[in-house]
Amino acid sequence: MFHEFFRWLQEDLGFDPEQGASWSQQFLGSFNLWSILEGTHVLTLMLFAGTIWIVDLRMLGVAFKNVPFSKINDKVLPYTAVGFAAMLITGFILFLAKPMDYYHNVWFRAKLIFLIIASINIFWFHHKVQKNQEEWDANPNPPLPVKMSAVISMTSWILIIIFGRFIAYNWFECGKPQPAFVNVFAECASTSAGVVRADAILEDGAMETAPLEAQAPSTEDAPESAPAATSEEGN
Amino acid sequence: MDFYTLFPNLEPWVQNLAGVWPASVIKPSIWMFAAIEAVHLLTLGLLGGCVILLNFRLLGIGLTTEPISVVEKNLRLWLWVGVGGVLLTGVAIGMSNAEKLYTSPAFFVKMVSLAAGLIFSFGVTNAIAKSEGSISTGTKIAAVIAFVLWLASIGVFGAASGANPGTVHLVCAGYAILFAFGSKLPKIIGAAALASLVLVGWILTYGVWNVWDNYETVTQINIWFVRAAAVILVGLLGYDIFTSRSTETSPVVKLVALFSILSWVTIAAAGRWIGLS
Repeated sequence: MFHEFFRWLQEDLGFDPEQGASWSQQFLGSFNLWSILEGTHVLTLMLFAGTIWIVDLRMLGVAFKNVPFSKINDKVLPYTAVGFAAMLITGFILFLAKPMDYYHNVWFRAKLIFLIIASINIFWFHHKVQKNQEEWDANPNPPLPVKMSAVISMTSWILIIIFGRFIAYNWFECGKPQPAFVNVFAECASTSAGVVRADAILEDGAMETAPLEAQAPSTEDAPESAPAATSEEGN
Repeated sequence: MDFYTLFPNLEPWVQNLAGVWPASVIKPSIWMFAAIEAVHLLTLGLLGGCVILLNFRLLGIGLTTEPISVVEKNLRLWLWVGVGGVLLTGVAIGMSNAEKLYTSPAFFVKMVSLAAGLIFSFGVTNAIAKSEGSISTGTKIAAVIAFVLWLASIGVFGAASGANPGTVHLVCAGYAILFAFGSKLPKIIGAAALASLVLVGWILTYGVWNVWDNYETVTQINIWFVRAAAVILVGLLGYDIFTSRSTETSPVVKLVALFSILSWVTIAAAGRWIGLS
């Protein structure tokens, strides 16, 4: 859907013929800027994920049982929010390094889905579950909706972190021989393996083979300056 | 500095590690290394949350409505889960990657700061928290040992060509702690200093000297700006710790809490820069 926009963002915007690179590619090829931002994104997990899980564990009734939920929530969540802001800002800037590749990355898409689920859960918790907070605030074993919200939160963030790490691996890169649903999910264009982009599936279920120039992006085209992003040895 | 330089005789043993279980199973697998790496990150997050919340409490911020020992007691299990998970997964992926780590200065930094972090968390801050913020002589000795190890690790980190940009994370974490813990004036000075350093560094690199395409020069400029930011940070945090209104814990305990967080940040930062350098 947005392939052309992200391709323009990745390859054309700010293209400097002297360097042969767009702004996006220059950022990816920067000496340390990309690495420092990526490192910051990962390290902020210690602040963001760690603190939100402690709040979740209180909601499950397994940590800080004898401390009212509101005290944990009020004292911990401001730091969680700062961590989240840092993750969001660094994550957004990092996206700009390879927007088209990330747009077609299965794990990136899965990560966004769970980010949306986590956001809906926060909204639900804030506007529904927290309505009668006084009734269960001091309860060491909160009612089911509170626990459910905690489970959704913990699971979402765990999956978001796992998928985030997997973005660096090219297992399901467009162009590889793989099940059609993967290509549909990632909106890959046609590949040498004969799979097609989503809009090329004809009404009767047959597939239209797209011309070669419509082929999906490959991370192999990206500059090699960010080895950890594609290296399987990254630690 | 790396383990190869220190212990060159271990080379055959290191080379053999990838063939030993569990590395022998992990290495040939397409997904196992990545999966264990993901668990390494998850448990890092958990341990990070516990370390931050406990040491924030010792600094006099965060969960201040509860006694220090209550915070420690409730976080203890999760800190163990976090550290246990990080160590187990770390050994597994480390063995699979042993030859690379053997000659990696970032890995050396990580291991030295890991020793510091473990002493801080399981020999110092837990003991201080259990006694509601007071520190015994034995604990002080452990803290000094951990501090010296951490100092050595950041010394090597700063000098490790290729990995030294990772020290930026450490300085960032320090400023984040300053903004969370500090009083108004040091925070304003810190923010102004940080903004001016970034601006001046940018102008020099891209404008005045126009050396943005020379890796060596850019790195040198970055190193000096990180050092300047670090010196200012040490002054501001030091001022805040010794003039803090929160008198529940002594300045020594606050320093211990600060170094404890920073040693774990060093472990994580050096870990990330094994892959990035």
